[in-house]
Amino acid sequence: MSIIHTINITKTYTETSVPVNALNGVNLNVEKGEFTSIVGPSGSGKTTLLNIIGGLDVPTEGKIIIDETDLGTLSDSALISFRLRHIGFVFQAYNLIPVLTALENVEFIMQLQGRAKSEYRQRAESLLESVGLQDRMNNRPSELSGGQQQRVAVARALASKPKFVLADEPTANLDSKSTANLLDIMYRLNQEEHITFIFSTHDQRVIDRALRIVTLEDGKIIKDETR
Amino acid sequence: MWTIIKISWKNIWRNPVRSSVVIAAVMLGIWAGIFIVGFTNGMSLQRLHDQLDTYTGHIQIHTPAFNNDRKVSEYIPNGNSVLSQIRKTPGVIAAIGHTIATGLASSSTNSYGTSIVGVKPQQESTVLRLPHKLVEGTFFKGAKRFPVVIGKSLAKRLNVHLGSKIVLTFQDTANNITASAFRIEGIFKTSSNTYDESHVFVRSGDLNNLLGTHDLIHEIVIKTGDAEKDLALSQKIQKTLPGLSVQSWQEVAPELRLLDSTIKLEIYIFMTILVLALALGIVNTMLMAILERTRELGMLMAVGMNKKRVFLMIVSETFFLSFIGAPLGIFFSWLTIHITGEYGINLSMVARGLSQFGYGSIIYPVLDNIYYFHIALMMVAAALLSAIYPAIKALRLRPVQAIRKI
Repeated sequence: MSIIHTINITKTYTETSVPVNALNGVNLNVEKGEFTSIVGPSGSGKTTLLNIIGGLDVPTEGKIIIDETDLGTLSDSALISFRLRHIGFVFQAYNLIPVLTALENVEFIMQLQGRAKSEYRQRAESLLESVGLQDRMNNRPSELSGGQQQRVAVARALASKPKFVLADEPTANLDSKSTANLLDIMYRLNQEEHITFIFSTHDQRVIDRALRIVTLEDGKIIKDETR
Repeated sequence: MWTIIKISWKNIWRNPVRSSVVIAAVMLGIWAGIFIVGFTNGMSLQRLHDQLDTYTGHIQIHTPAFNNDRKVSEYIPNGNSVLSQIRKTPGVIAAIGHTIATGLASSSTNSYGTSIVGVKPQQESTVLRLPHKLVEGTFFKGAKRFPVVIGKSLAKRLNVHLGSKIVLTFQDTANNITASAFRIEGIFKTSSNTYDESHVFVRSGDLNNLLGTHDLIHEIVIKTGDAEKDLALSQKIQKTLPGLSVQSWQEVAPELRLLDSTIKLEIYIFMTILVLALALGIVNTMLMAILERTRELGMLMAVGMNKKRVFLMIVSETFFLSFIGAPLGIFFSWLTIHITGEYGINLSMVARGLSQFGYGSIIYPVLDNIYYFHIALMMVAAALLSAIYPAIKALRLRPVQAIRKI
């Protein structure tokens, strides 16, 4: 069953003196439970594609349909609400809220969703345990290593029970050990709980673990292989 | 909502030094501003009440002609019965009659133009506080013939002192020039040098004898219980005395009315400027905070924090910055005004200058509670205003760009 369906996506940036075509007619289907890497050289359009799939950016042309919802038909506020309920994000620079503890960072998304305290406290603890941070729940981001912060970010992305998780260069700032550890966690979540992960990366360690690799070049998909 | 407010509270302590500086600035600004307002207000109210209690009284009654040229022949017909009638009027605490002549006070070395006011010594202090302003001698307690009480400034001009003789020259009711020697029994000093130079007080019996009359009253001075209601009371009395001119202090001394009304306006203008200046400081701090947190705000919007919540977060932060310092500033200003209002602030170093403008040398700051309430409301409005621009700046961020901001 396809949960992400892009139809002929084109994105042209016109803010610069010379218009830049970041995406040129991208058609991509992602099925539930996939563990997909979008790869390609810098400037190939990986991040732009992820932003458009995540509803953070809008395509110049084409459609993006998430589980039968055409994102182009949603208003700004509806799109924010859609992101909150259906999409998990993991950013390259972790982007945790520095004044909150690891536990509070994970709870925060569920609080925005309006869930009851008993529910979000239990789920946040359980998620942090699943990423191996049961002992660091009450630490603030500044007290955690980069790898630990990114694991909190993964737990936060999963907190809203999203349809899929988008991870933009999640290992770019991590050392080898932390990268392997993070990939193990995400792979396990994918295999055991069928959570769909889509990465943009040019990190070979991530590419090696991906089950599907979509290669972009000059804004076009030039290769799409499943292992 | 509580989560957002909790984050806002934590956010303002990310940079404790910067937030503390802003909070201290708000506190000191409010404290100093309100105290200065209380000081100015106290100074002006003192001047107003001093004028009412020492010089003008609350309401004055004369004949219309006396108001124009102050002739000794323009006395109030049946003055004593009018005075008795006034004393029975509801709202009137006390009333006294003055016999007034305009003339010249002379010593062996100098002369000076003056109003010669004939008073009944026992009654005078029921309305005016002049008997309490003596710096030397007594207010007609001796049994000497033709005693006079003069101002300190006049004594200096005439180069006389307690016990000296001066000659008062004036016209009687028959328009003849009459003169008599008076011995100085008391010397007074009010907060107005001009008044002290231009008024001398004698017993009304002595003055009436010299005028060739008996118990003439040119002026009735009334004390009431509430200066704010004097205008209405004067109009009420006027209806019962159609041939006379009944004037409240606002009409007798329009500059005092102006002082009274402008001081209220000045309080609000001054505090508005001060609060706006503080608000600009808060705006600057919040803009800095938003600039520093652009990526984080982008992330919050990306993961699903809607605009209403972002707005609430920024507004809450602004309110926290404003409302930690403001109540402290208001409290300390209330305390300072309360203490200094009780004991006074001694400005005797500049007493001479203050006196020339009719101000006393000890200032008692005072401010009605309603002003504290209004200033608190102004701070709420200022905090809201200073929150709007930073909040709009935050709302204009596009998550996709903000996340990548370094």
